[in-house]
Amino acid sequence: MIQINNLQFRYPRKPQLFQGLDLQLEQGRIYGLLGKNGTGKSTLLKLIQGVLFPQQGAITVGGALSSDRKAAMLEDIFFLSEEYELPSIAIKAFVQAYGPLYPKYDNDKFNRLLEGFEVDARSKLSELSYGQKKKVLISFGLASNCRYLLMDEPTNGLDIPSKRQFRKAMLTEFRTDQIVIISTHQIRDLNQLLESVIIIEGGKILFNQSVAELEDKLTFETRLNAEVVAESLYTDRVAGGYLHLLPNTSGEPSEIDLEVLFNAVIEDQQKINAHF
Amino acid sequence: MEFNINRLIRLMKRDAIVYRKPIVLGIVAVFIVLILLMVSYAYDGGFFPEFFLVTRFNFSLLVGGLLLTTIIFWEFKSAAGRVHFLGIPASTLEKLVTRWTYTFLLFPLLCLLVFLLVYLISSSFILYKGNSEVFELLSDSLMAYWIVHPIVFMFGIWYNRYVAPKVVVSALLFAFGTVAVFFIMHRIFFNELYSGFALAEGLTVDPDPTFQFKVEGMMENIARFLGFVFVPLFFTVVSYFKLKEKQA
Repeated sequence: MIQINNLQFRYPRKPQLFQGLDLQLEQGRIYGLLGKNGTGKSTLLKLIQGVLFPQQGAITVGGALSSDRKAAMLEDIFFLSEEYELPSIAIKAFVQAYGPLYPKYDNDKFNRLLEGFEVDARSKLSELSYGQKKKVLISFGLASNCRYLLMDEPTNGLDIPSKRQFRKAMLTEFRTDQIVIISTHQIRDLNQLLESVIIIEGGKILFNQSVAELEDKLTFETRLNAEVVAESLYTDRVAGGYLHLLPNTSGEPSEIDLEVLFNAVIEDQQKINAHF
Repeated sequence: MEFNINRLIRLMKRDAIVYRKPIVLGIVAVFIVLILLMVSYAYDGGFFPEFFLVTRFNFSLLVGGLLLTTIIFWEFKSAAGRVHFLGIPASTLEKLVTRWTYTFLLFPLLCLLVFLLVYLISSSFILYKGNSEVFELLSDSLMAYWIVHPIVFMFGIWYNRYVAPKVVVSALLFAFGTVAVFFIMHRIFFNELYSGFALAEGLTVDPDPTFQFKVEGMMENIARFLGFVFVPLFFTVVSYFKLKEKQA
């Protein structure tokens, strides 16, 4: 479990980023961390990994204080950063260098995943494009079998088939003892992958619900005309009509549109949260 | 503090793989430069050959070794590098020990090895004055490295970028600061020796020779303790905590 209590954080000479943030992340879930630019999504991941320290409050990862950066904790966390520097070595050498540092690393799994992403395992990292490097890191992260996978914009730079492959890999390789946090702007890439949605804004959690709860409480309906629906919580113009976010009165789950949900929460979080 | 020898070995293996090219190039460069310099200066009329030999060693150890120490945490120069290095699955102590080993043990050993090779080879055609003088000069630079390395190592962790020039500036500031503090203390405690900020004119000092002997001995012991025990230990401990509190 990842537990964040009363987190306060700011970068030097910058405004306060987190002010008393509380969050609890349970095992066996893939969390989507959504927020506007500069709301601290990447910072939150770095704080969880322990490479940044909170000014106040505490973050524990599996019971260990993240800022202690204990080796046992780091062996169980894989952080796929949006910006990374990879050494100019072959993929094979990269695996030889980093694989032994993760006790549960599975090389067969790595090769299988890399094959799925259509990356030649004999390639040199310096010869790969940004997207291909990301595929190597995603494959390595999943093969590390770490209990905590933190991914910052993992689909950024991936082509369309690779995004599909990413979703497939995540769903097949995900284990129930893991916690995966995916921070992203590319909401549509994560449809049908996330099990919980967290929206942060202004240093606070605006929304934190499981997808099952979302489906149970809210419904997304597309109507052709801009007709006013009295009970509509949010309306957005989409191709072919208007998409309404409505309370789910029928009990039938609808396909969740994360973009509409995000905009609805940003516009009036109280109105949305009142239904949970 | 966590320390696991297997993890340390894995960390060193990782460094050896990731930095294989710069390591090989560095070793080859050290060998070539040292051998060229030593051989070219091995004999010069009017100078002692061993002096040249040892100066080359001093240069490569002190300048090369300390420069290497300033860049040994080169990952810190970028935010992505810091995230990567600090997130490597190993304890702070293990990360510190690996980089300390490279700069404090392996590099001087490499320099010594080259020195001994050249010395042994050149001994066959150059008549050195005596081994004792060569090794005395050699030990001086090793002692200097023993004292200065921990200080530079700490700055290598503290600063993220432009470590070498920052270390030079910090060292100068520290030196000036120390001189100023000692001068002020001297001015306060030995007030009667001064007229303003200058020494009083017509002052004659006739110290007791036994007192001078005792003070000299005591000061030497204090200086030795500070230089060889306190300074290296203090800065190594500070380095550990600097790395522990290092953030991305």
